[in-house]
Amino acid sequence: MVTMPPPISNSDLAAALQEFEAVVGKDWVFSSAEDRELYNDTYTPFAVEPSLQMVVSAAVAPASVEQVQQVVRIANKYKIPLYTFSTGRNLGYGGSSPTLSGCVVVDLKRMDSVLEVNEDQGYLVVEPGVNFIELYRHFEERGYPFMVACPEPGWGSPIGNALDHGVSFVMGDNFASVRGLEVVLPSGEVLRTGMGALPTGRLWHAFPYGFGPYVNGLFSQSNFGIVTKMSFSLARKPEIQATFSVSSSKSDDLYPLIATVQAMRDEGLLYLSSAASPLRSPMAPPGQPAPAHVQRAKALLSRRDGGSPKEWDELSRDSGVALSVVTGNVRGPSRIVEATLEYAREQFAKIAGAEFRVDSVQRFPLNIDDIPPDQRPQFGIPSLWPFASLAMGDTRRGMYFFSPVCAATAEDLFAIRQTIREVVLDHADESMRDPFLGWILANTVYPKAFISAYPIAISDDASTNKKYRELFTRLVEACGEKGWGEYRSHVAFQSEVMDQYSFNDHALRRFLESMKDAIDPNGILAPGKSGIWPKRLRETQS
Amino acid sequence: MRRAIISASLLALGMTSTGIALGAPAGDTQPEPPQQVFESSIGGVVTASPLPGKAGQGYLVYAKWCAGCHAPAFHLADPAATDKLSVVSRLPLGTNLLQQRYKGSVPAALEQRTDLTVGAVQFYVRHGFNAMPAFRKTEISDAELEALSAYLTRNRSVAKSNE
Ligand SMILES: Cc1cc2nc3c(=O)[nH]c(=O)nc-3n(C[C@H](O)[C@H](O)[C@H](O)COP(=O)(O)OP(=O)(O)OC[C@H]3O[C@@H](n4cnc5c(N)ncnc54)[C@H](O)[C@@H]3O)c2cc1C
Repeated sequence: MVTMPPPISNSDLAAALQEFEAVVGKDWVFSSAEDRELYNDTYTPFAVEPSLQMVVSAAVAPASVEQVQQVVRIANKYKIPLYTFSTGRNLGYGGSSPTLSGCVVVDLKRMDSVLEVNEDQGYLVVEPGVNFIELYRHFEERGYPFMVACPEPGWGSPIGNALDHGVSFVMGDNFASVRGLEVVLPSGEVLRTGMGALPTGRLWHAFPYGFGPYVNGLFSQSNFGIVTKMSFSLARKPEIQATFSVSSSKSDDLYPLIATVQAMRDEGLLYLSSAASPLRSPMAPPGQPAPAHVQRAKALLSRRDGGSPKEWDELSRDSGVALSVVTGNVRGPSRIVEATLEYAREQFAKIAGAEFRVDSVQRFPLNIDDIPPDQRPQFGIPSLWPFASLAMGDTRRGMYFFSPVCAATAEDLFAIRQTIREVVLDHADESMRDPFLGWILANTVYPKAFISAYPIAISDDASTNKKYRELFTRLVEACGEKGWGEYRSHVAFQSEVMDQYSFNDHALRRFLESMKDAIDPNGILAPGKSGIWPKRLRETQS
Repeated sequence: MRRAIISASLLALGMTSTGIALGAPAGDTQPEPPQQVFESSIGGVVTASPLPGKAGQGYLVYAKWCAGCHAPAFHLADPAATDKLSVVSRLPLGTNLLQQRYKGSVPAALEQRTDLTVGAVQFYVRHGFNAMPAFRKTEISDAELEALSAYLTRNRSVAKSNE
C-alpha cells in the first residue's frame, strides 16, 4: 500500500539540494512546488485522494555518469532516498512516481546520447535518456538498417522500458535483448557487467555473461543500482513482415490453435504470437445499443461457469463472430516468409473448420504513408498515436494495469479467466465487472507464457477508485494462490505483488533484502521498489 | 501491446487473393539521400519547417512531442481506403477528444487553431489535462516551450492582423 515519507529532516534535504546544485547546476535541481508537480503520476490510482498520492521532495537531473555518482554519494551523506527513472513515462505502472513518498527523483532524461550503433554486429549502446522517438530519428538520419523495439507509446526509453521488463512488437521481451550494463552502485562506484568487466571491455556488447553469476537481471525491477549505459541486440529490417490469423467458431478449437501456433514459436518460425476471443470480448460502439450477440455474450460471461463450450459455439455460429483466434508474426527474407506462411497454412489445415488468413504483408523499405500511425510501432516506428485507443472508454484520469502471467496453453488461459471471473462476480459491483469478464488479448511476447494487461480506468469518484484498488488486491491474491503472478506492477502495489512470491517463507524477498542491506546500508536507492525495502524502513512498512 | 496485433489486419498489401505468393518488390526501393530530419511523435520523421525564427523551432517541438496526439486526422492516399480505417487509426487521442468537446466550433487539431494563447499552451504543457501528462523541463525546456507557443499561436497574430 501507499507509504509515508521517511523521517527526512528538512535541513538535511536543504543541504543535500545545495550540494546537488553544485554538481549539476542550479537549473537542474527542481524543488519548487510547481516543478515537483511535474514528477507526479498522472495516472495515479489515488486521483482524487491527494493525501494518498506519492509525492517527490525534489528532482535532480544529472548529465553524466560522474554526476550520477556524486548525487548518490551526497544522498548517502544525508540519507536522502532517491528514485531513478530514465524517461519516466511508465504510465499505468507509476509514471515518474517513486515507490516511496519523499524521494528525490533522479531524472536521467538529459543523459540522451546514442553512444554506438554497430551496424556489422547489430547492437546499440545508449544512455538512459534516449527515448524511442529520438532513437528512430538517429537511425533514419544515418540510414541504419534497424528497427526500433518500441512499445505502444514512443516517449519511453529502451533502458527504462527494458528495466521494467517491458515488451515491444519488434523484440517481444525487450530485456532479453540486453547485452551489457554500466551501473552506478549505491556506494557511488561504477560497475560494468559481463565482458565489460574485463579492462578492455572489447566484447562488452557481444556476449552477455562474461564469467561468474549473470548479474544483469539484478538491476531490472530492482533498487540495486542506477543504470547509466546499456547495450541491446538490434532487429534488422526484414524484406517482409507478415501477420496471419487463424479463427474458428468452436470454443474447444482454442486448444489445438494455441498448441499449433506455439509449436511454430518453438521451431523458431514466429517472433510473436497471440490468442484472443473476439466473441468473448463483447464491445458495443460507444453510445449505441449493443447488438444481440453482444448482449448474449455478456450474459454468458456473467454466469458463474462462463457459459458452456456448446453455448458459445452456438452463439458464434448464429452471430458469425469468431470465437477462437490465434495470430502469428513472421519476418525475414521474402522466400522464407512465404514458405513459413505456407507451412503455417498446412499446419492449421489439420484443425477442421479453422480459417487461415494472411492479414498483413508489408515489404521494406516501408512506405510510411500507407501505414496508419497507430500501427507504426508494429514495424519498429515509435509513435504516440496508439494512445488514440483511450478514446474508446472513459480514461480521463488514465488507467493502471493488472498484468498477470499464465502459461501459453488454452488450459491455463481458460483457467485464469475463470478465476478472474469468480473473483469479479464475488467481489465487484456489477458496473465494474465488464472489463474483467471479457477476454482481453493474450500476448505471447514470451515463448512460453501469455501476459494479459487488464486496464483499470481511474475515475473522479474516490469510492469507485477505492473499490477498484480492493478488487485489484483480491485479483492479485486469488491469481497468486494459483501460480499466476504479475509480471509488472504499478509502484503503489509492488509490495503486495511481491508478497505473492512467497515460496519457502519469502526466501526470494529475504534474499533480495539481504543484498539490499549489504550493498545499500543507508537504504537510499528506490526504497520499496518491487517490495524490496531497506532495513531501516522494513519495520515501518510491515 | 494491449491491443490486438490482429488489428493490424488492414494492410493486405502485396497479397494475392488466394495464396501467399508475395510477388516482386514494388517499384523503386532506393533509399533517399540523407538529409537532416527531426523527431515525429506521429511515427516517422519530419524535415525542418520553412517558418522563420521561433515558430520554425516550435514546429519541431510540436512534431516531436504533440503531433502524436494532436495532429489532424490521418488519411491514406485512397479516400475509399481511408473511410474503412478505424477511428483509432484516423484520429489521435487529443484531436478526437477536442472534437467531441468543441463540436467543430474551433478546429480539433491544435496546429489549425487561431485562438490559442501563449498562456494556455504553457499551462497545458506544464500541467497536462485528463490523460495527457505534464511535460518536464528535461523533455521540453522553457526555451523550447516558448518556441512551441510561438508556433501554436502563429495563426493568432495572422488572424488578428487580418481583422
Ligand atoms: C496506453 C499505454 C500503452 C502501453 N503499452 C506498452 C507496451 O506496449 N509495452 C510496454 O512494455 N509498456 C507499455 N506501456 C507501459 C509504459 O508506458 C512503457 O513500458 C514505457 O516505456 C515505460 O516508461 P519509460 O520507458 O519511460 O521507463 P521509466 O519510467 O524511465 O522506467 C521504468 C522504471 O524502471 C526503473 N528504472 C528506469 N531507469 C532506470 C535506471 N537508469 N536505473 C535504475 N532503474 C531504472 C525505475 O524503477 C522506473 O520507474 C503502456 C502504457 C500505456 C499508458
